[in-house]
Amino acid sequence: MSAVPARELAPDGPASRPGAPPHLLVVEGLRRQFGGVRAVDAATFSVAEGSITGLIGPNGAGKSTTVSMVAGSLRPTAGRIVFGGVETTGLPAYRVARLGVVRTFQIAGVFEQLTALENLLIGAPNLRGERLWDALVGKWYWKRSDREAVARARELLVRFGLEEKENDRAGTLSGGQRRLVEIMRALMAHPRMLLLDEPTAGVAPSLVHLLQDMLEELRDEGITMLLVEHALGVVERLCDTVIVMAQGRTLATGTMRELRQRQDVLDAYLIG
Amino acid sequence: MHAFIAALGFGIVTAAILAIASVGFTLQFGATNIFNLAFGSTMTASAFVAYVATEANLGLWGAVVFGALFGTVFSVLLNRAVYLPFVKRGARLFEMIIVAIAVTLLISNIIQAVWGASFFTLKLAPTPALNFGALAFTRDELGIIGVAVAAMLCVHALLHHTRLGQAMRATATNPALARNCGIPTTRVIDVVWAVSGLLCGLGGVALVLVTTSFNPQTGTEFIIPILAVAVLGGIGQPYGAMLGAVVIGLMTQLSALVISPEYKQAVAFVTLVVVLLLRPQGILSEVAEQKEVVA
Amino acid sequence: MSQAVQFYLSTLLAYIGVDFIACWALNLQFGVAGILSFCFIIFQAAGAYTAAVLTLGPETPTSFQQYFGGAHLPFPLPVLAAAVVGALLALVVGLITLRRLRRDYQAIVMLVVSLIATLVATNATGLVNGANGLSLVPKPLSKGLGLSPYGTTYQWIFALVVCGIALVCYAVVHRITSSPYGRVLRALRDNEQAAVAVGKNPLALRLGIYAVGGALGAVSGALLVEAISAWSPSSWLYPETFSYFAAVIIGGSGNDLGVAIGALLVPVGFLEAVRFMPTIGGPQFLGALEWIAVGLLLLVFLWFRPRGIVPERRRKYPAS
Repeated sequence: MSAVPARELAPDGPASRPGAPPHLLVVEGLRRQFGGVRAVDAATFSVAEGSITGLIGPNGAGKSTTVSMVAGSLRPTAGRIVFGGVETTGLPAYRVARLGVVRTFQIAGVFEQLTALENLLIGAPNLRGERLWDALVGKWYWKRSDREAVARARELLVRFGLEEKENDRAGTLSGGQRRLVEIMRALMAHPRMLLLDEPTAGVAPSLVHLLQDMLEELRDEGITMLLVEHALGVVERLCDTVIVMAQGRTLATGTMRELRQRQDVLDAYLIG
Repeated sequence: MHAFIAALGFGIVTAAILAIASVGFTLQFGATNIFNLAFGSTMTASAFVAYVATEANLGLWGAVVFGALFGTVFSVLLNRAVYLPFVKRGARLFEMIIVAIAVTLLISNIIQAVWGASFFTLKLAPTPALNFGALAFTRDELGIIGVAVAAMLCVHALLHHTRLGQAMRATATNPALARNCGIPTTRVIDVVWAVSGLLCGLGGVALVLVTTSFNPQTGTEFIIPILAVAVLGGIGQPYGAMLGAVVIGLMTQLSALVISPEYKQAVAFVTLVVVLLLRPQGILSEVAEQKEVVA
Repeated sequence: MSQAVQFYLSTLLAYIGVDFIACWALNLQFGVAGILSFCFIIFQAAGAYTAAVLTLGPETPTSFQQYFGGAHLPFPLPVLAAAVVGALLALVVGLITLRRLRRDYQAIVMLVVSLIATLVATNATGLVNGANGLSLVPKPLSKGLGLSPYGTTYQWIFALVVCGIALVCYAVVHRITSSPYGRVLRALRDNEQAAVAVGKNPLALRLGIYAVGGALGAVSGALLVEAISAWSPSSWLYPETFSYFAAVIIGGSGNDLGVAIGALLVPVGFLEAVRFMPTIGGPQFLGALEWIAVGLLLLVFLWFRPRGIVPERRRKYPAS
């Protein structure tokens, strides 16, 4: 593959190369201000459907803030977010999630008092029985849909090798196991895109490999992923495209090899 | 007009007491993120220590010194013996607030068990009123206003002109970073509680000097106006608390001119609710998320 | 069994029923949903006032009590009305407070709501007769059954009726806590961000359970006022909320059986302990001792056994 000048990989707008897959997520001019500080300033990038796209950059580059804005938990001060053709700027996080964007957290988000199985069940969308009226009506109303969800969840637990932990409280699981639970729960929700915020953080090295295999399998099954990572080895292995952020701005986009050859990217990591 | 001037006078004194107490409260909350709801009952306890001092004929100075001393020591001990162990064990914020409530219940009811629920007065000679034009203040009230001003100046000097103050501000903004920079955060936090406790004790004594008769519930209920001031001024912002104290102190007393006097307390209550709902970061603070007011 | 003992036991049984209902209600709001409902006592108060006013009948020129509204409704209508009022009040409070505030700030706002409520009820004399409160509320079942309300038979029947209502409340509570709805609220309690990330709407979900908690709290108040025939602001000062909190935390927050045990230990237990203790130092002293005990118990349990005597149990799902 010959080196392509960075200019031609300009990320704004629709796919710039003929035959490239459509962009599931498009972010334009995103800005987020906290008081006098601009954590994110004019971030613009897009994520191709079916890809694993990496988002890297030195500490303080604004990656997590950007992810929070895409997920809807932070409201952008300016800019647009378009997911699957629908503008999601300013939508509350739960609505964005229902559109198919599921986010994981730097510290694995598990429900500590609930069992691993129950953690997964929370991910199941449109379960009968999750509204007050359903609960008051009685068990007969939601028993079957719950059973089906339990069966799906058990399959996932087996697939990810955690079936023995089914009835353990999630608070007792290790960091890596929690991460797996978090991802399995995300899968229960039939996501179109996963926003993974440092998924290998807090995961034992032996488990990191498994995690990478899992993510590749998921990509093959058609799930798009935007991956924030510090471990560049993981990024190199998994990501087709990588976006670099520094000081709140999107600096460059390309493959890891292309980015390594760019002086501005190297400078950003040394300075930032 | 006369009523207005009188209310204005009361308002200034109320603002002074609120300022002393709320600056103490907000300094501590800003640095530790712990809602010390027992602050109010510690004020009451300090007031009772002052009462014991006056009963022992130690006079005004005895009352002030012992009250302030009690507040200081008690607050440091409270943190070390109760709050800190819970924090170290990883107690979540909502557990901490229940702990604070439990401590409040303990303090105010121990006071009641020991002294009974009736009203007390400090045994001090009555002081003449001094007139400034139409405003009239007693010597004690002037003293309180003076102490408030002095306390604010000292706090300002502490925060901005001493190494300790710098360390306090650093710890309040980012404890982990402060620790990494070599600041002995545990000792700094002890000092923060001591300063907060000193102001708490002074505030408690001032409160009972002005209200002349008090019971075990007096200071405990004062926590709400203190919270209102702290939230209005921006959590952790001492200058905001000073400003907020003036606003709420004046508003509370002046409101008695337009609404029924029983509802005076409601001014602080309603302010607190409204501020938390509309602008939880307060009037001075710009950074809501950093202080995690918003979930 | 002597009359006096029968009176004592039947009243105790009624109190137990009332406190069970109240603790289950608070458990829904706090144990399951994790809301620091520091204004809980206002729901019990609203239920008590509603039931009192709907049993007393409208103000007459000769009555010495001034209050708003009134009717002579037969039992159990006042209790049902109380439930509705409790639910509506909870919705109002919930809509105001259950927004994007950090949980401890929410708690403060709710505490202040409780204080404002006390202030208004005490001073707005035409509303619920101010500081004197409502009294001489007629006993509910006596007319219908043709029994003297002062006889032991009536007492026992009333106590059993309270227990029956408590069972109904338990059925409602159990349905909620054992359903996917209960599960999703526990998830929101444990990690709101993660639940939102899979599409759960925190406000809508919490308003529902908060309203049910308010309704049940009001039912407990309605039954309580029918038992003691009087209700004034001194019955529901803000610390009462924490007596129930202590019951829930000590008993086992999140566990229906646990909080029932907590109800027996704290509200009921203290009531009975005070009755049997020698009256040293007068009622104020004993009252203060009670609260000291509550405070100490809270600290001790929060330190040594924060999940309570009977903790929330893990749910296992049957094999597919």
